[in-house]
Amino acid sequence: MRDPTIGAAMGDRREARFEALYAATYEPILGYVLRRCPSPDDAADVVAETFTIAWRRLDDIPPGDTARLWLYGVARRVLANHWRGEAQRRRRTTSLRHDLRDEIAAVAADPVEASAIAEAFRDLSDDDRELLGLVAWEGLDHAAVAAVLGCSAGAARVRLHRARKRFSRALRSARSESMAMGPHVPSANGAP
Amino acid sequence: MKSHSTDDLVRSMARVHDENLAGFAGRPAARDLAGDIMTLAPPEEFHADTAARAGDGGRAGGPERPSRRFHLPGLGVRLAVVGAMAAIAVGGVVLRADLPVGEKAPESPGPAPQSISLGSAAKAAHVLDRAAKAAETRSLDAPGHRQWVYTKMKLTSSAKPAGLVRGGPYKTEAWELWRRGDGKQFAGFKNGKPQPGHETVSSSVAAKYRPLPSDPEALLQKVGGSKGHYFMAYQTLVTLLRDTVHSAETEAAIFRAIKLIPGVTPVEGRVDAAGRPAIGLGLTVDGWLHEEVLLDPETYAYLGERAITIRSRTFESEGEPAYTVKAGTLQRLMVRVAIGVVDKPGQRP
Repeated sequence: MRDPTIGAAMGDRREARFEALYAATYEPILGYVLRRCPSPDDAADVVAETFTIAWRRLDDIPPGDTARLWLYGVARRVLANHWRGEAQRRRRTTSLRHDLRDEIAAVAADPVEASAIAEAFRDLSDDDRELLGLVAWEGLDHAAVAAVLGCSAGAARVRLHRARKRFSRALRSARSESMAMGPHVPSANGAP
Repeated sequence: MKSHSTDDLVRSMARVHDENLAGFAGRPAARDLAGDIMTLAPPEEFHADTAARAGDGGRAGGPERPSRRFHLPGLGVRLAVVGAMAAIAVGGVVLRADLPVGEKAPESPGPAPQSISLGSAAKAAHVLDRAAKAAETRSLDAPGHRQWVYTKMKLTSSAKPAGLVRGGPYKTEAWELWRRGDGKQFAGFKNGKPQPGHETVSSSVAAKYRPLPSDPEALLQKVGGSKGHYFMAYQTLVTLLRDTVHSAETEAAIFRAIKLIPGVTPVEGRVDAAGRPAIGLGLTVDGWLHEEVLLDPETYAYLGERAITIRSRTFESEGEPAYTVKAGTLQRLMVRVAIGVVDKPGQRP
């Protein structure tokens, strides 16, 4: 039987480690989720689930800044699962709390949401969007993108190159379309 | 890695940038989430099947989902996390931690939908002018850095855990909170004792915007008020009124900054702030929800906040019958019962 005092000390160490990880990664993870998740209830669930997994798998988490990449990977999978299955059902039964949704809408006010750029971006595949997002939003390089996606740096480079090309092409065609239809005024939202 | 011409475009589409979230990990909301998670079963107590699923070769994540076996933090966390996203956190964030375990707030049927009519923006401007003038004549001392601002709040909201409020039952919860003058510490009651917050907590948005400019335009700009962001700025200004005791000059500037926000309209007649008559002013969100700040009709001092639907709206979601939230349905009423400056947490003015 284990000495209970050793157990307690280990528990303390574990908590201290988690605390440190949490302090270092909460903000980037919150940012990651917010940028990909339009609903406040869902975003809150995803952040909570991501760190719940981190707590359970603390021993698997790599040290240093790689921990952040590891957690992006977790958040990515939690998000992907969130749209299916249980979370979906939960979402249906608890419709959004208006004030929370408004808070998100306020913090996330995005004047270009309805623009041709946003449309072109939305039309990309999930994978392409994720690659472009990891680089532009999370500021990752090839190696870091590879760590999040679980592929080689070389593969990340090639996939990113292709995603950028597809996005550029979509932008060009969106631009020529909007020029044909007259100047496009991005609609401002969030402003009452 | 070379950056690409489209990177900036993608960046411009980010809903939020990490820089905007600086300090959020230290907020009570985030602290509560961490605390909740660390009460979960340590991994060696997991059931074998869960452990097996978790062991997917050390790859990030895995398509696992904490099953119902794990207590997934509920609304408290949702409030916490979402509250943390905005610069404004509804007081309920801290409240969750403060309510003794198992204590249920009393439920009531709450007010029936009432008819609401809004006055003109010009009238709101007039009220805000008077509020600013009244503030200038108040002799208030802002707290010193080592003093504490005490607030007692009362929140009436749906007794249901989440979702739009379609009507009663409502529940009312009260909590007390101490914020240190420098905004770096806070304390709340936990199990009947004042409990200090985390060392790095920046629970007060006031501290974040310090020093508050006394020029209304500069103040509005400092809280991020610009086209597309007025609602957020409005909420921040209201939070500044709620959480802190300001100098007369600063408080007047806050009212004048609110006046600069387009679309603020008054509620015709008096609003019931939990038994006290109040002036209600607010911004209309999405054309149907009026987010109000409530002022004392005599002194124009902050009394509380209310969110009320001003137009009926029907919601439909997949696989669920449509439902309608009627105009005049109270969504949230928060009243500040007391505020004052004290020398240490646990003290009341």
